[in-house]
Amino acid sequence: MAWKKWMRILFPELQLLDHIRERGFSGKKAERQQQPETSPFRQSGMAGQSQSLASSAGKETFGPLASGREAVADTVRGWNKHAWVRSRAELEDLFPAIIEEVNGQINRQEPFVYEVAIAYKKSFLLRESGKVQHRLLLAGPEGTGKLRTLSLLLDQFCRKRLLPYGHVTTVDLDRYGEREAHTLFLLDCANAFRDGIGTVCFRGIERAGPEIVQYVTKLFADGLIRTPEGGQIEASDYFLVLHVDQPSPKSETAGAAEQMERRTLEKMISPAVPQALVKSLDTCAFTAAPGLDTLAKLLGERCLAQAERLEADIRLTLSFEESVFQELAKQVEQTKRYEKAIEEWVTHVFTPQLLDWRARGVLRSDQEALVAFREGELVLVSGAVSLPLPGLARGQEQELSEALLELEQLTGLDAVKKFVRECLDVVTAEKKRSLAGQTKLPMSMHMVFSGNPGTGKTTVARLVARIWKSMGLLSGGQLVEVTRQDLVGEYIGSTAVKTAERIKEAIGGVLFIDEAYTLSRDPADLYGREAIDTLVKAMEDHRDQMIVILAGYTREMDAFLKVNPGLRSRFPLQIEFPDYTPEEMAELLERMVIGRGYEIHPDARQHLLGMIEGKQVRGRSDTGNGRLVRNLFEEAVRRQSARLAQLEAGAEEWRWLRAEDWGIGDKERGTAENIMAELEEELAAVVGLEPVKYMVRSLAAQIQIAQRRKAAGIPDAAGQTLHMIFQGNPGTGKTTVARIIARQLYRLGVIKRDELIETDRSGLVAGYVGQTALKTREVIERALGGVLFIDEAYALAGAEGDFGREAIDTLVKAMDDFRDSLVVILAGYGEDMTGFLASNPGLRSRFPTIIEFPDYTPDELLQITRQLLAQRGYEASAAAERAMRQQFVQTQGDKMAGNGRFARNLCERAIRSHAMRLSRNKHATIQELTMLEECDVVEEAIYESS
Amino acid sequence: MKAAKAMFAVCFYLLLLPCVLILVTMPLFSILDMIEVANYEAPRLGYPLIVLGVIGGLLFASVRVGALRTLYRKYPVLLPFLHIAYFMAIGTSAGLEVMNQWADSLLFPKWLAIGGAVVIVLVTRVFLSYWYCKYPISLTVRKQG
Repeated sequence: MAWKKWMRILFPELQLLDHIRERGFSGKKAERQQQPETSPFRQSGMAGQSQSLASSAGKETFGPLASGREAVADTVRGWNKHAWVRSRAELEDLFPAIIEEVNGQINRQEPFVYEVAIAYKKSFLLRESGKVQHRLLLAGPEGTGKLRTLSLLLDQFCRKRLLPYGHVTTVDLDRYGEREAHTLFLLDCANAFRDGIGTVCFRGIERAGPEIVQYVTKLFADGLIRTPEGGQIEASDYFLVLHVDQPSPKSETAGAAEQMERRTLEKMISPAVPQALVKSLDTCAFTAAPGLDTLAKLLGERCLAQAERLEADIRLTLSFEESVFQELAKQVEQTKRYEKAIEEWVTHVFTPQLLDWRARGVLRSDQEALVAFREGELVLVSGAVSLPLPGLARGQEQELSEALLELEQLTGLDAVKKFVRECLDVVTAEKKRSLAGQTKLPMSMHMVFSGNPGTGKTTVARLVARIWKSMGLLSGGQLVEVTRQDLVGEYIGSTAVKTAERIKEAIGGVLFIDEAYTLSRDPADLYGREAIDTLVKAMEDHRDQMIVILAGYTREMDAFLKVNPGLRSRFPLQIEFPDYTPEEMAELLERMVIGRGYEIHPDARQHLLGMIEGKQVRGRSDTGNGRLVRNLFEEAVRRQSARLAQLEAGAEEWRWLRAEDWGIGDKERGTAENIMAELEEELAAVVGLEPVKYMVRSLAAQIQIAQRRKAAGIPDAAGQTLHMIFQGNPGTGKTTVARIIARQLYRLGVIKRDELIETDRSGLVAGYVGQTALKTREVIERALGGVLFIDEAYALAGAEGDFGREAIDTLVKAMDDFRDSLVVILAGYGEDMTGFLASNPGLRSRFPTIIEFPDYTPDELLQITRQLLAQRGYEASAAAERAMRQQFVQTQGDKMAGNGRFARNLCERAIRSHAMRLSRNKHATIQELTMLEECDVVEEAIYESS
Repeated sequence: MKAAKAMFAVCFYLLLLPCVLILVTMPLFSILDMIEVANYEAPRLGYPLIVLGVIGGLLFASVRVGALRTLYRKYPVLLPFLHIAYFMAIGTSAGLEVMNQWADSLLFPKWLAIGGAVVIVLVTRVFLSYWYCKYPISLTVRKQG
């Protein structure tokens, strides 16, 4: 009888007596009474009782605290679970009122509201507990009020006491990464279903990972999820809602589309929703895309409400022209995001712009303003002023076409444009495949951009981010630009944290790592490796949420990709950014000039290309491309400012950049006559070396004639080879002549930089295998556009296995690769140089010009000495000169004596002796202070010989 | 080792026995004391809360420690019995404390003190009813559950 049960519940002590009666005091009576297996009480019988005792005896539940917690949780759960049940007759009366109320707040979605309400009504009529109440699909275009309708309905149900809750719990499925499917997602689900009753809405299934889609499918199909740890998340007594943003089947068939067949309906729902999930749905409700009139009405309501608020807040009286809402409605329709687009425009574009103008004083207090369309543009008219207002956010298609147009308009980069278009075609094809129901293939879109600086890598990366966002492949479309210092920390462990932070910023967009090779320059660089490992892991975890673009020099990037075995395979897309041609740079320059409000004067325009050609050195990474263009422009602006600063220039004059601003017509290089005259002047300062001077003059003449022939159109396919060998003893003026030659070649326009890079074996050869080539290449790159002078070049030809050979091979290759931008001069002793040239078969043929530097005669050395002394303000007496000459005669024929260096050293020694001699004489005359005597020369010689 | 465990258990039970006696008698005496406090309007000395804490600790140890749980395996009814006794002891002690506070300081009226004490005791009873409805130990309740 029920009263017996209730008595025992009211007085648990009676249960004690029952227990003793049933089982005996020691429990032995229960063991003697074996219950059959099939007894319905088996579960709730002895085993159940002892289990109950065990649980109530409780390990954890014995104490008052634990028992109390359990009691409170049960009370809350019971309260929530117990539906505020209304009778069926009451339901019939309540629902029409609820539907009418919601329809009053949602625009033109009556069929949709009706279907969702009916779905709930079905569950209220059935009143089944312990199972999922209803599985509902809400589908339709974005911004058509799906979730809002559901929230309003639940609020109404709660107010009418049909449900004990009035809110919907939302789970955004696209926010979980692959690794979070079994952790964070399950945790959030457990929390969502914690209360025992409610409505849970799952959004973003189109972009969710496969694991999560699987979980949701199981939840909808079976009403529960089994976790990997063996737990269970139950959805009993819950309403499960699936929210999908997609275009309606047809605008007039919003609602359940009940006239359609189920199969047709299943096919219409986005391919991202598995068929198993679609089959488990009880109701499918579709919203309709609002028409233009509805959108105009919505816009009107929203804008007028905002205008009221603005009038109250910032005292600005706004009115709207009649046609504004219709025109704006057309723009809203293009975005395909309807109410969301309206809300975003009003809240994040329109209002902030007005606030900004108000704050800056552009609009004054109590001013009246009219929002209107003028010549197709949205403007704010206030008095005589018409201010442009930003229109609605463009639709994805428009954004995509704008980004592609911007890509096409980039100067040059044809290969890059083609590459991006091909990537886009692949993505588009993949989308079409999945719409056709085929399996979506995971594709890696990570890229490597290799090339010199200033070739547009960052610009293209930014466009890639925009294009991918327009295609819906990236949610944010932001570009996060980093270099090594943004990723690497100061101590072990901090690099991973720092790198992870930047990766987090880039999720939904593009992570652009410039000069990525710096992360692995040194094999012992642990920090770089840590950054790379963190990056590789993140690329796996966020495969569909982020694109990584590595950028840097071509050779260095190749070496970098070999560092980590998995790197190259993770970057399947590699594109080379070539250097801009002079014509492309001229175009870039033109654009930059116009973009900054300047113009290139006609007298400068025709020389522009030549100027750029003269500046760009092929092979050098730091003298060309975008940077050169920017530097030229900035230099021109500086010169213009200097030119016009002192003049009373009109506004018109300030925008012209003339030839003199660009440096065109500078006398730096000079005419042919001037060049020869200057050459003679420089050669005249060199003592002796008549054969060398003759060779230099002939070289200059040869170059000039070649240029005149080229200008006259006479073909010369082979071109002129200017590499030289200077053979001679030390101190015979080889370096001095090399400098003169470098200067003359620059003036003749053969080389683009007036620079001579002097080096020897130590500057080219390193201590480890493979390092010599790098070192040599660095020196060569520094010399590009100028002259490379290698002294004692014969030292490079060592024994077999010597690294000098590596330097020679690298040099020979560079002389071929940079034929037009490098002149090499090798210098050394006669016989040693002969042996050196024989060491590499390619060397001899590449150096057609060999100039012999004979030793100086004693008279020439004396002349050199006179010049050196004169430069220092000294003079040698006749006796001193005789003594010097005597020494020169003695050392003649000794190739290690030093020639010109010997003369310089002799001067230095004599000057020192002179100083020693006069230091004791405090009253020396000027004559004495400048005159070197024989004793100054001889004394030093005595000391030397002793 | 077994002998040591047995000795330890015996010693523990000898200590537990007076505690159980106190526990069993405490509710009755607390109720009687409450009546007397209400009549004489003077506080009565009850068992300090620390005593309940110590008894609770001993009971907890007797359940948690394997060697001590033997008693409950042998006499299963002891566990729910002590459970009911312990919660009643807490409830009635708390009720008496409320009454004593009233009698001592007269900060609130008598009806409030009596009402509070009654409510506390009732809450304790309701909790015990809830617990033994959820985890019944009587077949009668389970059959009809």
